[in-house]
Amino acid sequence: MILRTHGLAKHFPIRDFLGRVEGQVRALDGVTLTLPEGKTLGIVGESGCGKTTLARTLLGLEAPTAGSVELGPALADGLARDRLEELRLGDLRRLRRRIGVVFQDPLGALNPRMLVKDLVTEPLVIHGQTRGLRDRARELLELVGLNPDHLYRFPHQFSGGQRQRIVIARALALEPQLLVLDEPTSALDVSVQAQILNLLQQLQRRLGLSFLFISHDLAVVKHMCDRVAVMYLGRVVEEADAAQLFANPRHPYSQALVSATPELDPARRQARIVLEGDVPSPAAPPSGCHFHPRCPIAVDNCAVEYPELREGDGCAVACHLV
Amino acid sequence: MLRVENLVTRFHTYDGVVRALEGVSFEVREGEIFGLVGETGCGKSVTTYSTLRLLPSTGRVHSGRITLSGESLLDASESRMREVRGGEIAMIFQDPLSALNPVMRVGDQIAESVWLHDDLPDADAVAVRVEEVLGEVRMPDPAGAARAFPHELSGGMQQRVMIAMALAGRPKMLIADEPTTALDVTIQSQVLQLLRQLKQEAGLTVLLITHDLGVVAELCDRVAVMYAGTIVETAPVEELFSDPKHPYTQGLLAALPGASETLAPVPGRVPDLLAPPSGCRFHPRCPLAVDRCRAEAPELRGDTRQVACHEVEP
Repeated sequence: MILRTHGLAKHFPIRDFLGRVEGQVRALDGVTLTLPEGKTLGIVGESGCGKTTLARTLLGLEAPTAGSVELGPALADGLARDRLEELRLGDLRRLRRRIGVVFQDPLGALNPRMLVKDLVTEPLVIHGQTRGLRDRARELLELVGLNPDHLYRFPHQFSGGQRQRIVIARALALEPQLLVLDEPTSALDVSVQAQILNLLQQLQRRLGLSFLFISHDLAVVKHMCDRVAVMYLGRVVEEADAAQLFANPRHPYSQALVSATPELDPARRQARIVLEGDVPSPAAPPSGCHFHPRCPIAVDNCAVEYPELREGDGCAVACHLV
Repeated sequence: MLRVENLVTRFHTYDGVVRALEGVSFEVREGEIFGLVGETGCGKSVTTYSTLRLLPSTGRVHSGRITLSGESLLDASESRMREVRGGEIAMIFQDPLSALNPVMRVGDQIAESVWLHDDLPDADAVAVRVEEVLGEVRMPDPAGAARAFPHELSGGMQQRVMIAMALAGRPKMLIADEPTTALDVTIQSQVLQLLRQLKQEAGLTVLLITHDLGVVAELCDRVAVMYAGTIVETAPVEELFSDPKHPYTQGLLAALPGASETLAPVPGRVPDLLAPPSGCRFHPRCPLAVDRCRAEAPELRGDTRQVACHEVEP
């Protein structure tokens, strides 16, 4: 285990024009998850389900409203506490050296006026290193399959896939244990996406990294992940091994999600479950089980009582009826 | 219904001439959903803008023919084109929110299209027609939706409004440019189902532009694969996926997650269309390339299955 969350919640206040709190956006509403060490945990779900807030909370960029994040030995080594929310600033900085992050849009993540050399070594500079930066930059570029002679170029001189390699190189600069990948290939074409996914898998094998892989693309998640958690409106509705989840989804929402994914092979195409309606707003989630208004098998109790995530058989499902 | 022959479109920019389309030919038959698929910058959208004569001032169609039910669109007068756009060929775009006017009620926006293309006596008749088209796109509560502003509707509902607006002129053909790219998967499958229903019930002809091979597999009857401004392969959809002929199509399918354990990326990168490669535009990345490919651009050959490659028989 590299990291475990317990009932993690993050609520953002909604304020009126006088600054009075009117309501809460429940971006995360009790997320319990375990990230296995050296493996890839996928987080899937539609826009607004809390995937990115989860990533930001784990990076310590948002303070959780409730719940806790337990750090595994690889992350907590040398820190005073092993709970993320209890860390002092100094320890938090030490922790951030051990967690790297890659966001969706590489162009937005790279300062257009900085040279590649400065971009990939910026984390080192921030953490106080001043010597050997150029050699380290060359090493990092080689690691991600870029030409080390391109140190003195600007981001706009690279293609989309190469820019994402630069972002990955920067995320690896501090030799992290865990890499948080938030939609790393969503902005890329399929042939480039394949290059980046292959690179990530090689890096994981070579460096023994753990990945938290956030994506809305189920085909990519199926390819990359060992374990997958499905989120809906701030909650995990199902967590299982990737192979099991895609072959035999238990929760009605996972079933709909898997069946809504376009299938290339007509022979393998199944009857489609088309959900009615839209994802409700996390500012006013439905009572009981958040999914009940769209659920094809909902019963009366679903509107009243929230189903806890129950474990069994190597997977966990939050549904009264499964 | 729509036939495009040897279309050559170029953009004249300060950096030089961008050879965006180089001899694009395909045909969309009545009542089918025809997919035009390819990666960013391959010329999918330029093809549709050329068809509707909506190219920006730097772009020009140099040669080729575009005919809609026998009528040449490149020779049509500008006033005739205004009738064609929306009246005979309607178009929907990727991002519905930026295509809708945020300060105008949805019903009024659809009514604009109705006034323009339909000969109705008064505002009441227009309002009835607006609700009718909102019903056609399976909007729950069409009357309520007509009074809503775009921001009050979700992404999927906004895309339905766009489709309703497109259908309001009773077009023969719908061009859908990445209609589901901005949508979540469960909403995407609702919109795809709607397009399928419209094709089956109303016999709508659709030209679907997309980069998503999954959407193509779900929806299309026939597909053309584009690469760097050329069409490399045309095929019925099942055959394209079961037996891709062109090396680029094969590479694209092998790069998709789910095809095999390790992904096989297409080596190299998409060429710069300011200075495209000689001969076949795919040859620098092609595993089968021979000398002839560097010298001579292959023609699209074949009948129901067409391939533009010297080394592969259709």
